[in-house]
Amino acid sequence: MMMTRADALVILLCSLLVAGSYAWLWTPAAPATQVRVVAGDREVARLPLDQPRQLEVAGPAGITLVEIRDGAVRCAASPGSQGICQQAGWLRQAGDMAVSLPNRIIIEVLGDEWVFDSVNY
Amino acid sequence: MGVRQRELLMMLPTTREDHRIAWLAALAIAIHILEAAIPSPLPGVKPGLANVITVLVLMLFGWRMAVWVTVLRVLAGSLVIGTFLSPTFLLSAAGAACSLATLGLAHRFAGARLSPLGLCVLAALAHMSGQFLLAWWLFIPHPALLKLLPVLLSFSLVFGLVSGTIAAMMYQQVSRSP
Repeated sequence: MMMTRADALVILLCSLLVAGSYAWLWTPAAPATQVRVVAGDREVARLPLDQPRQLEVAGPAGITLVEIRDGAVRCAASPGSQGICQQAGWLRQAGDMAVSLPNRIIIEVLGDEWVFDSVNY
Repeated sequence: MGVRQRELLMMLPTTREDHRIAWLAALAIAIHILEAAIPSPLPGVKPGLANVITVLVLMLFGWRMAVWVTVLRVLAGSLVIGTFLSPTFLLSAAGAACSLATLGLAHRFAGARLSPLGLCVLAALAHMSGQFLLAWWLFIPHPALLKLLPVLLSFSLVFGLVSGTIAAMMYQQVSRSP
Protein backbone atom coordinates (compact mmCIF):
# COMPACT_ATOMS: atom_id res chain seq x y z
CA MET A 1 0.00 0.00 0.00
CA MET A 2 1.22 3.48 -0.88
CA MET A 3 -0.07 5.18 2.25
CA THR A 4 2.43 5.59 5.05
CA ARG A 5 1.72 5.98 8.71
CA ALA A 6 2.51 9.69 8.52
CA ASP A 7 0.00 10.02 5.67
CA ALA A 8 -2.70 8.42 7.79
CA LEU A 9 -1.86 10.80 10.62
CA VAL A 10 -1.99 13.81 8.32
CA ILE A 11 -5.33 12.74 6.82
CA LEU A 12 -6.75 12.09 10.29
CA LEU A 13 -5.61 15.48 11.60
CA CYS A 14 -6.93 17.27 8.52
CA SER A 15 -10.30 15.53 8.86
CA LEU A 16 -10.42 16.60 12.49
CA LEU A 17 -9.56 20.14 11.44
CA VAL A 18 -12.41 20.18 8.92
CA ALA A 19 -14.86 18.70 11.44
CA GLY A 20 -13.63 21.20 14.00
CA SER A 21 -14.21 24.07 11.61
CA TYR A 22 -17.87 23.01 11.28
CA ALA A 23 -18.24 22.82 15.04
CA TRP A 24 -16.50 26.13 15.55
CA LEU A 25 -17.99 28.21 12.74
CA TRP A 26 -21.46 26.75 12.38
CA THR A 27 -22.61 27.02 15.97
CA PRO A 28 -24.61 30.16 16.59
CA ALA A 29 -22.19 32.84 17.68
CA ALA A 30 -24.58 34.56 20.03
CA PRO A 31 -26.92 32.31 22.01
CA ALA A 32 -30.18 33.93 22.94
CA THR A 33 -30.70 34.82 26.59
CA GLN A 34 -33.53 37.36 26.78
CA VAL A 35 -36.54 38.61 24.94
CA ARG A 36 -37.52 42.22 24.69
CA VAL A 37 -41.06 43.27 23.93
CA VAL A 38 -41.59 46.75 22.62
CA ALA A 39 -45.06 48.28 22.24
CA GLY A 40 -45.20 51.59 20.44
CA ASP A 41 -42.13 53.50 21.55
CA ARG A 42 -41.94 51.86 24.97
CA GLU A 43 -40.20 48.69 26.15
CA VAL A 44 -42.93 46.86 28.06
CA ALA A 45 -41.05 43.73 29.05
CA ARG A 46 -37.60 42.20 29.15
CA LEU A 47 -37.82 38.55 30.15
CA PRO A 48 -35.37 35.62 30.43
CA LEU A 49 -35.94 32.86 27.85
CA ASP A 50 -35.36 29.97 30.24
CA GLN A 51 -38.60 30.47 32.18
CA PRO A 52 -41.84 29.50 30.41
CA ARG A 53 -44.39 32.21 30.54
CA GLN A 54 -47.21 33.86 28.64
CA LEU A 55 -47.59 37.56 28.32
CA GLU A 56 -50.42 39.65 26.98
CA VAL A 57 -49.37 42.92 25.48
CA ALA A 58 -51.94 45.55 24.64
CA GLY A 59 -51.59 47.67 21.52
CA PRO A 60 -53.83 49.97 19.48
CA ALA A 61 -55.34 47.01 17.56
CA GLY A 62 -55.90 44.65 20.47
CA ILE A 63 -54.00 42.08 22.50
CA THR A 64 -50.84 40.31 21.29
CA LEU A 65 -50.05 37.07 23.08
CA VAL A 66 -46.33 36.41 23.62
CA GLU A 67 -45.36 32.88 24.63
CA ILE A 68 -41.98 31.84 26.06
CA ARG A 69 -41.15 28.11 26.15
CA ASP A 70 -38.01 25.92 25.86
CA GLY A 71 -35.58 28.78 25.38
CA ALA A 72 -37.60 30.27 22.55
CA VAL A 73 -40.30 32.87 22.19
CA ARG A 74 -43.12 33.34 19.71
CA CYS A 75 -46.03 35.53 18.94
CA ALA A 76 -48.88 33.11 19.70
CA ALA A 77 -51.72 35.39 18.69
CA SER A 78 -52.01 38.88 17.37
CA PRO A 79 -54.84 40.96 15.92
CA GLY A 80 -53.04 41.64 12.61
CA SER A 81 -55.18 40.37 9.71
CA GLN A 82 -52.30 38.72 7.81
CA GLY A 83 -50.74 36.90 10.77
CA ILE A 84 -47.25 38.11 9.90
CA CYS A 85 -46.24 38.27 13.54
CA GLN A 86 -47.25 34.64 14.14
CA GLN A 87 -45.57 33.48 10.94
CA ALA A 88 -42.16 34.50 12.28
CA GLY A 89 -42.45 31.29 14.31
CA TRP A 90 -40.33 30.38 17.28
CA LEU A 91 -37.50 32.84 17.78
CA ARG A 92 -34.42 31.33 19.37
CA GLN A 93 -31.31 33.06 18.06
CA ALA A 94 -30.10 36.48 19.06
CA GLY A 95 -31.34 38.96 16.48
CA ASP A 96 -34.53 36.99 15.64
CA MET A 97 -37.58 39.19 15.60
CA ALA A 98 -41.35 39.09 15.21
CA VAL A 99 -43.21 42.28 14.44
CA SER A 100 -46.88 43.19 14.49
CA LEU A 101 -47.29 46.43 12.60
CA PRO A 102 -51.04 46.91 13.22
CA ASN A 103 -50.50 46.43 16.93
CA ARG A 104 -47.15 48.27 16.92
CA ILE A 105 -45.40 45.49 18.80
CA ILE A 106 -41.86 44.15 18.38
CA ILE A 107 -40.75 40.88 19.95
CA GLU A 108 -36.96 40.71 19.77
CA VAL A 109 -34.53 38.09 21.02
CA LEU A 110 -31.39 39.47 22.61
CA GLY A 111 -28.07 37.75 23.20
CA ASP A 112 -24.96 38.63 25.12
CA GLU A 113 -23.54 40.22 22.04
CA TRP A 114 -25.31 42.16 19.36
CA VAL A 115 -25.63 40.58 15.91
CA PHE A 116 -27.14 41.49 12.56
CA ASP A 117 -30.68 40.21 12.06
CA SER A 118 -29.97 39.66 8.38
CA VAL A 119 -27.21 40.30 5.87
CA ASN A 120 -27.61 40.92 2.14
CA TYR A 121 -24.98 41.36 -0.53
CA MET B 1 26.29 25.19 -34.21
CA GLY B 2 26.24 28.52 -36.04
CA VAL B 3 27.97 31.63 -34.76
CA ARG B 4 24.66 33.39 -34.24
CA GLN B 5 23.25 30.55 -32.20
CA ARG B 6 26.38 30.37 -30.10
CA GLU B 7 26.13 34.11 -29.43
CA LEU B 8 22.54 33.72 -28.31
CA LEU B 9 23.43 30.88 -26.01
CA MET B 10 26.24 32.93 -24.49
CA MET B 11 23.86 35.77 -23.89
CA LEU B 12 21.41 33.52 -22.07
CA PRO B 13 23.12 30.43 -20.76
CA THR B 14 20.70 27.74 -19.61
CA THR B 15 21.35 24.71 -17.50
CA ARG B 16 19.80 21.27 -17.58
CA GLU B 17 17.83 22.30 -14.52
CA ASP B 18 16.37 25.32 -16.32
CA HIS B 19 15.10 23.08 -19.07
CA ARG B 20 13.61 20.67 -16.58
CA ILE B 21 11.85 23.53 -14.79
CA ALA B 22 10.50 24.80 -18.09
CA TRP B 23 9.15 21.38 -19.09
CA LEU B 24 7.50 20.73 -15.75
CA ALA B 25 6.10 24.24 -15.56
CA ALA B 26 4.64 23.82 -19.05
CA LEU B 27 2.94 20.62 -17.90
CA ALA B 28 1.57 22.32 -14.78
CA ILE B 29 0.36 25.31 -16.84
CA ALA B 30 -1.47 22.99 -19.24
CA ILE B 31 -3.28 21.32 -16.32
CA HIS B 32 -3.99 24.71 -14.74
CA ILE B 33 -5.62 25.98 -17.95
CA LEU B 34 -7.60 22.81 -18.60
CA GLU B 35 -8.93 23.01 -15.06
CA ALA B 36 -9.99 26.62 -15.49
CA ALA B 37 -12.46 25.35 -18.09
CA ILE B 38 -14.25 23.14 -15.55
CA PRO B 39 -17.27 24.92 -14.08
CA SER B 40 -17.17 25.20 -10.30
CA PRO B 41 -20.10 25.09 -7.85
CA LEU B 42 -18.50 27.64 -5.53
CA PRO B 43 -15.91 30.34 -6.12
CA GLY B 44 -12.56 29.08 -4.91
CA VAL B 45 -13.38 25.41 -5.42
CA LYS B 46 -11.52 23.46 -8.09
CA PRO B 47 -9.84 20.09 -8.21
CA GLY B 48 -6.31 21.52 -8.02
CA LEU B 49 -4.77 18.84 -10.18
CA ALA B 50 -1.78 21.08 -10.99
CA ASN B 51 -0.90 20.42 -7.36
CA VAL B 52 0.09 16.91 -8.44
CA ILE B 53 2.98 18.37 -10.44
CA THR B 54 4.12 20.59 -7.56
CA VAL B 55 4.18 17.68 -5.13
CA LEU B 56 5.92 15.34 -7.57
CA VAL B 57 8.57 17.97 -8.32
CA LEU B 58 9.04 18.45 -4.60
CA MET B 59 9.55 14.73 -4.04
CA LEU B 60 11.83 14.21 -7.04
CA PHE B 61 13.81 17.45 -7.32
CA GLY B 62 13.38 19.35 -4.06
CA TRP B 63 11.58 22.38 -2.75
CA ARG B 64 13.47 25.05 -4.69
CA MET B 65 12.39 23.58 -7.97
CA ALA B 66 8.83 23.10 -6.77
CA VAL B 67 8.75 26.83 -6.02
CA TRP B 68 10.03 27.65 -9.51
CA VAL B 69 7.50 25.43 -11.23
CA THR B 70 4.61 26.74 -9.13
CA VAL B 71 5.50 30.41 -9.51
CA LEU B 72 5.81 29.99 -13.27
CA ARG B 73 2.50 28.14 -13.37
CA VAL B 74 0.63 30.82 -11.44
CA LEU B 75 2.16 33.64 -13.51
CA ALA B 76 1.98 32.10 -16.96
CA GLY B 77 -1.32 30.33 -16.27
CA SER B 78 -2.99 33.62 -15.32
CA LEU B 79 -1.52 35.35 -18.37
CA VAL B 80 -3.00 32.71 -20.66
CA ILE B 81 -6.41 32.61 -18.95
CA GLY B 82 -6.46 36.41 -18.70
CA THR B 83 -6.74 36.78 -14.96
CA PHE B 84 -3.27 38.27 -14.39
CA LEU B 85 -3.35 40.74 -11.45
CA SER B 86 -7.11 40.19 -11.04
CA PRO B 87 -8.61 39.02 -7.72
CA THR B 88 -8.56 35.45 -9.06
CA PHE B 89 -4.84 35.75 -9.65
CA LEU B 90 -4.23 37.16 -6.16
CA LEU B 91 -6.22 34.32 -4.60
CA SER B 92 -4.33 31.77 -6.66
CA ALA B 93 -0.98 33.32 -5.71
CA ALA B 94 -1.86 33.47 -2.00
CA GLY B 95 -2.98 29.84 -2.08
CA ALA B 96 0.16 28.76 -3.91
CA ALA B 97 2.42 30.64 -1.49
CA CYS B 98 0.68 29.10 1.53
CA SER B 99 0.77 25.66 -0.03
CA LEU B 100 4.48 25.92 -0.92
CA ALA B 101 5.37 27.07 2.60
CA THR B 102 3.45 24.15 4.12
CA LEU B 103 4.97 21.68 1.66
CA GLY B 104 8.45 22.97 2.42
CA LEU B 105 7.98 22.56 6.17
CA ALA B 106 6.33 19.15 5.87
CA HIS B 107 8.99 17.86 3.51
CA ARG B 108 11.80 19.12 5.70
CA PHE B 109 10.45 17.69 8.95
CA ALA B 110 8.73 14.51 7.80
CA GLY B 111 11.01 13.70 4.85
CA ALA B 112 10.26 10.37 3.19
CA ARG B 113 7.76 9.41 5.87
CA LEU B 114 5.14 11.47 4.06
CA SER B 115 4.16 10.07 0.68
CA PRO B 116 2.70 12.26 -2.11
CA LEU B 117 -0.75 11.45 -0.71
CA GLY B 118 -0.15 13.16 2.62
CA LEU B 119 1.70 16.02 0.97
CA CYS B 120 -1.16 16.64 -1.48
CA VAL B 121 -3.74 16.71 1.32
CA LEU B 122 -1.63 19.19 3.27
CA ALA B 123 -1.03 21.32 0.20
CA ALA B 124 -4.73 21.37 -0.71
CA LEU B 125 -5.81 22.48 2.76
CA ALA B 126 -3.02 25.06 2.94
CA HIS B 127 -3.95 26.41 -0.49
CA MET B 128 -7.59 26.77 0.52
CA SER B 129 -6.73 28.40 3.85
CA GLY B 130 -4.35 30.83 2.18
CA GLN B 131 -6.79 31.96 -0.46
CA PHE B 132 -9.64 32.11 2.04
CA LEU B 133 -7.66 34.30 4.43
CA LEU B 134 -6.75 36.65 1.58
CA ALA B 135 -10.37 36.78 0.40
CA TRP B 136 -11.56 37.50 3.90
CA TRP B 137 -8.90 40.10 4.58
CA LEU B 138 -8.96 41.86 1.22
CA PHE B 139 -12.29 41.33 -0.52
CA ILE B 140 -15.11 40.45 1.89
CA PRO B 141 -14.05 41.24 5.47
CA HIS B 142 -17.36 40.11 6.91
CA PRO B 143 -17.85 37.44 9.58
CA ALA B 144 -20.55 35.80 7.43
CA LEU B 145 -17.84 34.63 5.03
CA LEU B 146 -16.50 32.41 7.80
CA LYS B 147 -19.64 30.28 7.46
CA LEU B 148 -18.30 29.23 4.06
CA LEU B 149 -14.93 28.07 5.36
CA PRO B 150 -15.96 24.59 6.60
CA VAL B 151 -17.59 23.81 3.24
CA LEU B 152 -14.53 25.01 1.33
CA LEU B 153 -12.21 23.02 3.60
CA SER B 154 -14.30 19.89 3.04
CA PHE B 155 -13.98 20.29 -0.71
CA SER B 156 -10.24 20.82 -0.44
CA LEU B 157 -9.84 17.74 1.74
CA VAL B 158 -11.68 15.57 -0.80
CA PHE B 159 -9.82 17.04 -3.76
CA GLY B 160 -6.54 16.74 -1.86
CA LEU B 161 -7.20 13.02 -1.38
CA VAL B 162 -8.03 12.62 -5.07
CA SER B 163 -4.98 14.52 -6.35
CA GLY B 164 -2.87 12.81 -3.69
CA THR B 165 -3.91 9.39 -4.93
CA ILE B 166 -3.05 10.41 -8.48
CA ALA B 167 0.31 11.81 -7.33
CA ALA B 168 1.11 8.67 -5.33
CA MET B 169 0.37 6.46 -8.34
CA MET B 170 2.46 8.66 -10.62
CA TYR B 171 5.30 8.73 -8.10
CA GLN B 172 5.38 4.94 -7.99
CA GLN B 173 5.59 4.78 -11.77
CA VAL B 174 8.22 7.50 -12.04
CA SER B 175 10.46 6.22 -9.27
CA ARG B 176 10.28 2.65 -10.57
CA SER B 177 11.53 3.56 -14.05
CA PRO B 178 15.29 4.33 -14.15
